[in-house]
Amino acid sequence: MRTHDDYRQALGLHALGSLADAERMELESHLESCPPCLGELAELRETASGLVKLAKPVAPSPERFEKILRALDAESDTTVRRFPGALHSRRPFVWTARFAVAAVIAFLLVSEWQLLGRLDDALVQVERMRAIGAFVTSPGVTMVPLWGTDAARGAHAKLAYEHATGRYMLFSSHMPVPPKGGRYQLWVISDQVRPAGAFSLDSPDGTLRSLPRGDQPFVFGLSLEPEGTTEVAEPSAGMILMSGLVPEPR
Amino acid sequence: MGTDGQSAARAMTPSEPGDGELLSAIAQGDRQAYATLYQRYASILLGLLIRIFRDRTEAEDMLQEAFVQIWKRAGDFDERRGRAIHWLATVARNRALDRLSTLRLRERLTARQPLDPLPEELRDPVDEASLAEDARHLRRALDQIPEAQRRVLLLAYFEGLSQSEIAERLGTPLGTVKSHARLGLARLRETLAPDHPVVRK
Repeated sequence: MRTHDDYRQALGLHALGSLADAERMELESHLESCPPCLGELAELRETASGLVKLAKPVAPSPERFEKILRALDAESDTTVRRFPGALHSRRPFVWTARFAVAAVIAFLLVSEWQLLGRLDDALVQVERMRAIGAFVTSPGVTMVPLWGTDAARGAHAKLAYEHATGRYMLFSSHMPVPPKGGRYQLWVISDQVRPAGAFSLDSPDGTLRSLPRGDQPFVFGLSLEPEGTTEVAEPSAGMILMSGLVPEPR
Repeated sequence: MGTDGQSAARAMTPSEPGDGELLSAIAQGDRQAYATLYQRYASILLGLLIRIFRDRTEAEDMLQEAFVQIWKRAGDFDERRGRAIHWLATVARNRALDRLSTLRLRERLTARQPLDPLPEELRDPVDEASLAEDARHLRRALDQIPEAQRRVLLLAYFEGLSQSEIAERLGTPLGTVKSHARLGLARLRETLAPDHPVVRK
């Protein structure tokens, strides 16, 4: 059982982002009921973030800003095309919800004969988003970022999963397209690689299996599996996305 | 309001918007403000990311990820809680640490060679010739804190090492690493205070 002083000692490493996941989550829980620690952490964080001024400035390549603008445009397009499977976090959810509301308003401007049908579609979408928002913000759900490996550079995703039930939703962007009839498959990787569920982008949710129990550290991996498979016991090729170490469930 | 970070040395006309104004405008979808903020801070953030990744391509990709996040989260910035450059660096660094964790884990899982060693010219985080006054002030403040504490701060911030990696690198018990991190930051904060006799000389 850690004491207040134990938590206080860890504030510096937390401010620097170097605290181990399990201890960080425990400390964050302590911070909710300890204003003195919270105040000290704010000061240490401000000091730590000021260290950026020691970095030697390096000009980005000239085309980088254009690439960033294209990435923003692509994300907007993805959100519309794959809605709602392209949500990335709680914050984008709010943004996308605003977009959906704007879309509803835009529908009101089209001619009357189109109005009712489109409004129905929009309401179905908004209701679907509401359900997704309720899931990803519920207390037992952990949001884990996954990054593209060399096999899928630029792809990224967030996996929201509920440890107690295994229910998950995957929000992805710039994913490689699976071969016709193929599927994506999730893996839980610790001392062994275990299948955890398969899905398609049309239905990027399901129920996880094989979650480790206790304090065994693990990561999520995602592979592309070929046509005709539902779920395979071993990945047929390398991972296209991998997470960092998954924090203990909230 | 003035700018901060490396651009503090750059002349700013009275009509030039402050960082808080830029971030407010970005939260409303203003791409011109976004371009201005990028011009102001992309170089310093890329410098930080190159320090962390030791790889320019990886760092530029992460700079892009960070600026996408900044676009999405500009409304979260609160000027009362700190300077914009600090918030921007936190956004970029948090993304970088997630990515670094994935890269290091992948290296372990595939038993490949570790990341390239840090190039010699990047070993010293401080290039005196490139430092703006703000940074020179910070350098002097860092020199005032014990070396053991300074090394923990620099390993954690610029190399993104975890607590156990720092302990292993320095051959120091974990408890001591924690203590160095906290006391080092507290001492640095104290030394950076406007009325400190050594640093403000």
